[in-house]
Amino acid sequence: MLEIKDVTFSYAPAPIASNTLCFDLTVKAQSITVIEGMSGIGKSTLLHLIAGFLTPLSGDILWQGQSICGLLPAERPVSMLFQNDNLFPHLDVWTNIAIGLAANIRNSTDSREMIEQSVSDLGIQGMNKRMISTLSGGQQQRVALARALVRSRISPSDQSSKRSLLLLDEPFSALDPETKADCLDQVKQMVARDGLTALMVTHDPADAKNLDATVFSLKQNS
Amino acid sequence: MANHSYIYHYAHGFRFLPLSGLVIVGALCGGFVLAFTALLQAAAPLDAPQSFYELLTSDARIGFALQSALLQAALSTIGSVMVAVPVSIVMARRYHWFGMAFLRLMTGLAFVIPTTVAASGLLAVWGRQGVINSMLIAISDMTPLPLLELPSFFGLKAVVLAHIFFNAPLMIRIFLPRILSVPENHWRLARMTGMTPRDQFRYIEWPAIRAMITPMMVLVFLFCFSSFSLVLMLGGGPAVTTLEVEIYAAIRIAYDFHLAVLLTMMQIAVAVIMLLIMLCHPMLRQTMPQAVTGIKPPSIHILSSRYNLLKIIDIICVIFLFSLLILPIIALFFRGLTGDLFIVLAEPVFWQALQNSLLIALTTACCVSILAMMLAETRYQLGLINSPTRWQVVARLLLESSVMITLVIPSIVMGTAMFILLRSYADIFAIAPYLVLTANILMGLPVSYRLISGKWVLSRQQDQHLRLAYGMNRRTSLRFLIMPVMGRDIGLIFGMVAAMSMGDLGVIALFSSSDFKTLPWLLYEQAGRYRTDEASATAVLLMGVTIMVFFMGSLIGHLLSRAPSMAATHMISHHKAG
Repeated sequence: MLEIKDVTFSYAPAPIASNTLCFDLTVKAQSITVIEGMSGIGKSTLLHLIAGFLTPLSGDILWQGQSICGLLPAERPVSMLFQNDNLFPHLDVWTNIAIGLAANIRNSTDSREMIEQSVSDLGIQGMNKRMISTLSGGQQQRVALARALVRSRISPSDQSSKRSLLLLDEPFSALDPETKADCLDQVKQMVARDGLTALMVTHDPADAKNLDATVFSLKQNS
Repeated sequence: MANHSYIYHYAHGFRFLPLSGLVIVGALCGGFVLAFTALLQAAAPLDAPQSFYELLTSDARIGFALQSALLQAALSTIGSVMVAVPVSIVMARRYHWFGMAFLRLMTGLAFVIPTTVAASGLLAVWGRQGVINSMLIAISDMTPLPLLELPSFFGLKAVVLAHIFFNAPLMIRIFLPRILSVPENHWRLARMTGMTPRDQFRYIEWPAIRAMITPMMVLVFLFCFSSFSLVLMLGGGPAVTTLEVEIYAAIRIAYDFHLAVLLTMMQIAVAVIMLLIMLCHPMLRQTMPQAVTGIKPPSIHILSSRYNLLKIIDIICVIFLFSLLILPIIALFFRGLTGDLFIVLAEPVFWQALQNSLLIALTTACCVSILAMMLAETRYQLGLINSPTRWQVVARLLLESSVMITLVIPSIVMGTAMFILLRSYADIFAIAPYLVLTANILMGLPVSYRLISGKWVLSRQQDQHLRLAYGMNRRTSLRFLIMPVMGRDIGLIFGMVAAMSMGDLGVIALFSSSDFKTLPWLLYEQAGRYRTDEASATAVLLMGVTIMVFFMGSLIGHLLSRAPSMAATHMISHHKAG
């Protein structure tokens, strides 16, 4: 279970009530949750707080009952997909996925098997050596999903739990409807197969329906 | 039908510009042909039936100058890249550190500081009477240690260090924005996957700058290969030289015009090779505009704060850059202001040199700004035609290459060509100011044209339909559409060219006389006579004036770019009507 307890954050150097974002929600484990809301309401900010790219002013974030607020992004049980620039364009597909295992890539048998498995699960076999620029938008997001998948299947060095929290920051919004539906289907399969907990930000109400997800709507603090 | 918009456009102004632009190109090409013919005639006298190759290999100085120029250029290039790569990375990841804004400003000022001033600054730190040596001698005096003393600074190491002083900042101005423009999600990915600084270098920073390493090395090599004033001031004799220095020595010291012509021909051959390399490498053409544009801050912190050892390494890097770029300027200021400043100011020759320098610099800047605008407009007009005829394609090619060639031909070579061409018709030293002015204009034009032409053409294309739809005339179009967009760029080239011209110690070396001196030449004379304190004072004054003319360009740019507003007038008239 992911608990966001009275977390506040502000981009302003001098936070006051009117420029401070407040979050308080609980996300069920091994499920898909969709976050909706107007532009600028703080949907992406919430994901960045969970991932550790931003530090809350107050409150706490708990995963499986333990606070993750003091951990560095790499130590958190999190894999995140962004709307764009998820992959390094100068690296091939294999290396981009392998970075999910460890930035200091070592080509061990275990890691090779793990990557092959995720490649096969996402249906992107046969393109290991292709450069990112030669892939379609849908293929690129599948590669990013594959990286999130391999990442979710290993444990952070000092944690017993795996990185089973998948944060999706509108990663499929630029795709055509057919490819998008396909990618959403892949997310559903990943969650069901690997027992992940997915939290997805979207503008499209149809996404929640397609994912059979719980929906949270962020509202302006009055 | 294809040319309809072209004809309609012409009916609404700027008709004279393509023609005048082509006249400039014609004049440039004609000048080159004339000068080249004169050089060929002088290089191959009728009574010497040798082949051109034999003529070129006839003097041992030519081979030695080539060898020496290649060695110092290679070492300078390697040194510059070895400084620029780590420093760019440190400046990116420590962007918000205290003092970094000043360091970034200093990397930009390296474009403005005259070479003579930089040489004086380096001498103020590393010379016999420099800060370091003075400190070593003081330590020796206070302790029983044997006398510690730096060896003579002049020679290869001085030239290489001076080239690094100028070219490492140029590289940093190219590499740093590329690192800062890495998508922020890549930095987030790096943090999420726990990349170490080494991984970050491997996957993010190095790929960001890798594409620019080779073009920048080529560019810096070309700059160093054709270096003149730094080698002249710091080379310390004939052991370290370049073709340009040898040309100068042949004309002004040995009075060997034949050797000067041979060296010039050799330099032109090298320039043509350089031009071909530049034309083949599209990245090279973009470097200058990139280097002078501002650096945008990163939107996120690009490194986790937990690496303390790295922080120490980064501090060492920043101190190194500080000592490379800023220490010479501080030492020079200290010596210049505490030394013979008032003696220099009391000399009439200083004021005469200042007047000459200012007159030449400001006239050059005005001419170059106007010519660059005319050429950019010509390029736009030539590019406007949907189906260009053969002559129009040729005209466009001529425009690009004639402007480019002055970028690779050093001013000394231009000066020698002028010397050979005009010596039979006029008293060279009587017309020296005009020759220096012409050479400076030719030197400033390519960079200025490169800086504004892209944006000029783009902005003219963007407002083309609006202009035609509202039937804007030339004056309105210039006032409301062109200047608000281009004003700052025009101011920038004005300031840059004025500063470059102010500090130039190139062609003046050939044409200076007791009647005609510029500030850089006066500084060179003082340094050559070992009047170090006077030279330092002149260097400080020269730097002050150079920075002043550079900022004058910024002011002009600011005034030009102020978008005229009719709102106030409209409101008053509306109120009255009401």
